[in-house]
Amino acid sequence: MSDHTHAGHAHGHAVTEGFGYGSVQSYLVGLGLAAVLSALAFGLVAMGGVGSIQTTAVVLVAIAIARVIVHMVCFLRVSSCSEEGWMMVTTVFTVMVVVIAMIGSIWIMLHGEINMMPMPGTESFRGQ
Amino acid sequence: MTTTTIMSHGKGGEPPAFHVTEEHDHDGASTVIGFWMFLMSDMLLFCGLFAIYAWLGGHYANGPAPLDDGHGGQLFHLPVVAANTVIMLLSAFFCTMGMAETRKGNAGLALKWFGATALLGACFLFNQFSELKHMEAIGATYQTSAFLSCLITLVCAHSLHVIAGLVWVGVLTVQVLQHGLNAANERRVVCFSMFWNFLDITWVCVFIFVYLMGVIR
Amino acid sequence: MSPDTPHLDPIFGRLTLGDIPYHEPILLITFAVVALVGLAAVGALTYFRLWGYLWREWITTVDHKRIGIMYVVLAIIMLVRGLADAIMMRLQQAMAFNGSEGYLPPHHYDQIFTAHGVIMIFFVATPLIVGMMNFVVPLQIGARDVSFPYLNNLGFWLTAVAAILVNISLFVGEFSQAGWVGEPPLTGLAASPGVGVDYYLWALQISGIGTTIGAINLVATIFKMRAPGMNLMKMPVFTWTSLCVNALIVISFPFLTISITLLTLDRLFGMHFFTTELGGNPMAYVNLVWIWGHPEVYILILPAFGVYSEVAATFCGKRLFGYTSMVYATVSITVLGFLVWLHHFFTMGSGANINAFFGLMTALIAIPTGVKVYNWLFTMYRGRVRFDVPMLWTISFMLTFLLGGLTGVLCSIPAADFQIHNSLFVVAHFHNVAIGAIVFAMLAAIDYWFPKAFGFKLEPFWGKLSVAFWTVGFFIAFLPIYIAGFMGVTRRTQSFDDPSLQIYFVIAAIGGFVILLGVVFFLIQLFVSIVNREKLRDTTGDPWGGRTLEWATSSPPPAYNFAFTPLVHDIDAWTDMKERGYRRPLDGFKAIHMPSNTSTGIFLSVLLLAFSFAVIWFMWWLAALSFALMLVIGIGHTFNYNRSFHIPADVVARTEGERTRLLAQQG
Repeated sequence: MSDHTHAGHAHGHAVTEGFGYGSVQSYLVGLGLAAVLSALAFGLVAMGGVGSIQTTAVVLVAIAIARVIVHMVCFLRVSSCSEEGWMMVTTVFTVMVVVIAMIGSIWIMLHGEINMMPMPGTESFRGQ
Repeated sequence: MTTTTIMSHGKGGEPPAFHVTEEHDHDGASTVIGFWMFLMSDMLLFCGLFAIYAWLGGHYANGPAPLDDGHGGQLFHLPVVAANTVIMLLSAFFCTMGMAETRKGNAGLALKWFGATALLGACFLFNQFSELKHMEAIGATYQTSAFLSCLITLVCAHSLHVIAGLVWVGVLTVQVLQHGLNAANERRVVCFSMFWNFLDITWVCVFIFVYLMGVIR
Repeated sequence: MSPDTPHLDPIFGRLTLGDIPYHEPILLITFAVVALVGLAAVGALTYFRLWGYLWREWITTVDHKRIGIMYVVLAIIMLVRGLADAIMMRLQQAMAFNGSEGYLPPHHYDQIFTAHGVIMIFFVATPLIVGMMNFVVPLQIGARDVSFPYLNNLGFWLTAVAAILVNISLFVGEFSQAGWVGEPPLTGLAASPGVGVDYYLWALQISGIGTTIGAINLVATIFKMRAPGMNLMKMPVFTWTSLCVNALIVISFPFLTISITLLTLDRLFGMHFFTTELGGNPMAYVNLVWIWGHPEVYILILPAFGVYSEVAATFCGKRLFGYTSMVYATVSITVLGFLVWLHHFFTMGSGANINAFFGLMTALIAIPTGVKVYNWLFTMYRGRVRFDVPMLWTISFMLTFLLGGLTGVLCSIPAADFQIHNSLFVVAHFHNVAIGAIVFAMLAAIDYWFPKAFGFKLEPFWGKLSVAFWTVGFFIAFLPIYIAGFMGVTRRTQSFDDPSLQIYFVIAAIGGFVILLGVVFFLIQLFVSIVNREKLRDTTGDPWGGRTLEWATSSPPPAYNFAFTPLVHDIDAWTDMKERGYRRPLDGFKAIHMPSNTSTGIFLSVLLLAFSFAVIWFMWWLAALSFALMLVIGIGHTFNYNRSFHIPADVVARTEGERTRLLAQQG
């Protein structure tokens, strides 16, 4: 990571060289994949889901993750070598914390709702 | 950071060189990674909002719910959400194309792509605010329930980012027209493009985790 | 009062004359003293015609060394305020027995313990570590400046105006009475309708933004500006801890920002995130704020570990024992720090499984921390230990911190925590760690790097007295609090019913005064050293026999730090250079590219101060005006493309020539 061979200085774009530029082709691939994934998500919900709510939710989460990855790879061109690898390191670290915070919070909340008295206003559905 | 020639001191170069003798300016070498870190911390801001939504999003307090706005309709209008998803995706694509043109040095073409990006951004905002207006009209305001506080804050946080993006692209256009695509402006274009793509990524999470998850049965 | 209240004054919002506490003698005297000192300072600056110097060389500076020094000065000033709060609390608790209410009514006492916590964490500990990192890291990695010098300046001024906002609350209105993490529903509009919580929220918000900006800057600096040859495993340990800490700041501060933003929305717009009605849930705030709050603990303590590592290696005259394990320990603490936040609310009632998980994770952190302590001990083992003041702080730390760490492991057991939660035992534990590790480290760091910053050493006599009084005072003050807490005395209590407890608080108050003497001796040390600076002058640039690159340049370092960028071959780069016969280059100097000063940082910060003050008091015209001006100045700044200049080669040659002369004189 600290190997400072700067072949990139030969051309005039040294300052942004670490940032991967893709080709128009990769952008079009990204656009297509993202469109298909979004359509899939909407279609899934429009059809009324697959099986139980849980299964549908899991599929939707998978689609969201895929869609974000498509965006990162095809449009933002994040790869293991952009910015000497630091972009990947920071992204992985952030994603790790996002996962910890989300899963942790939901876990704590679910157990809290089981173990504690309900707060007012938590009625899960209108009038029911 | 950049080494080209290394001069050694001492007899016969026995002790190794302890300093470099020629270096280049490295103005802006850290801009992209610095801005990326800002985006990462912004992403965690949204993570906090999503965590709160996960916690409180089901607390309707006898008020409007995604599938029941209290007036016999749905609170979430999926066609509008779908339209906004298309708009956001296309605008991110246009923005990326603008960055590609910047790379080739075509300032004029790049600005046209960014203009299209901004136009789509404005459409997105128009849709969002009509939805909020509609919700207000049927009495679904941010004071009605924890669910609506979370929803409206999350959506507005995203919209505020879009507004910031519009201001940014406006300022950037003026600067590119003034100074052309010099190194500083090229860096700014790259950062803007990262920012706008990040907005689309956030929107993906909003429409899947909030809107679609809200209406599945 | 909510913003919709009909009787708002169009100019002053809800601010009335009644909000100025001129009827409280303590505050009146404080105000008189502050006003006199302020007037004296302004008078002196004007008399000696220093305003221009101050503006050009300090206020608008982008030099990381000067910004670092300003952070430390800010922290020392705020330390005096925070310590005054502490002494007042100790006196109050020692007095308020047998039906006596002491001298502080609850309204005042509650503000004091909140202000003490907020100030010590956000405006003493944080600026101290940020200041140290700012000063030291670029020098240690052989860089000439940081990645974003302008943002560095902005970050400092944001922190400074946030500190000013806290102090304004002393004289205009009131401060929060709800503890330093501000947990709702106590901080909600229903329970705290006054401006106190708003001051608290805005001060934290501004300082949080400032800290995040500073952290992004330092991470980018360490990523991109290391001297050639310095790969990750050749970075000094302090730089390593700085990297981890700043990464932690970038990653965890958003959670603070979002928690207090949502609380602000609750209070300003009547939303229902953390209220007790319409589906809001206060525990959601507690959860969110501790996702930030626990990493914050490591944000403060990791740089302290970095300082001890540097000091131990230097003053034992040998390479730090177990460098690699030190790095891995630091990184694993960084990651584990995110997995323990629930231990702050074991008693919330999430259930046994969750408590067991978070308790285990908490206990796990003791392992990498223990590794570090052993590494310092083994560094001392068979080293030629020199007992200079920084080393004395380090030894005192190892003893004190061992106790704090052990009580921490004790607290991590959920079953035990149900007994000591919210008791003075917890207070004693975190003061044990905060004082024993963070404060001692920062005082050691000031002693250690002071000669680098100003070119003369600090008088050791008063420093040694300070070490002694701080250490002894700490134990006198906090051991009784441990005992009282273990017997179940709750924290944040204004007066007591059980007279048998009074003895503990009297002893603790005595300890508080011993600590106060420690601080006074530290201030005397600064004063005496400045007076005797010629006698204490260091011309070598390396007064301690240092091992890392900051000691390779002169003291104080020139604006450009290094005439030539160093080339690194070893972990202890400077020791390596000294051992292998490095000779300072005497010619061939070139012009050096440096960033120019900017006044945007202070303007934006002052406007943000005005904006937050306006929102706190509902002065909407001022809020709109300052916001518009912020936009104009912020965007205007981006139209300035001319942000750097070159220090000409002959200026560099002259500066280096002067150093050559000094070195020769020194022999």
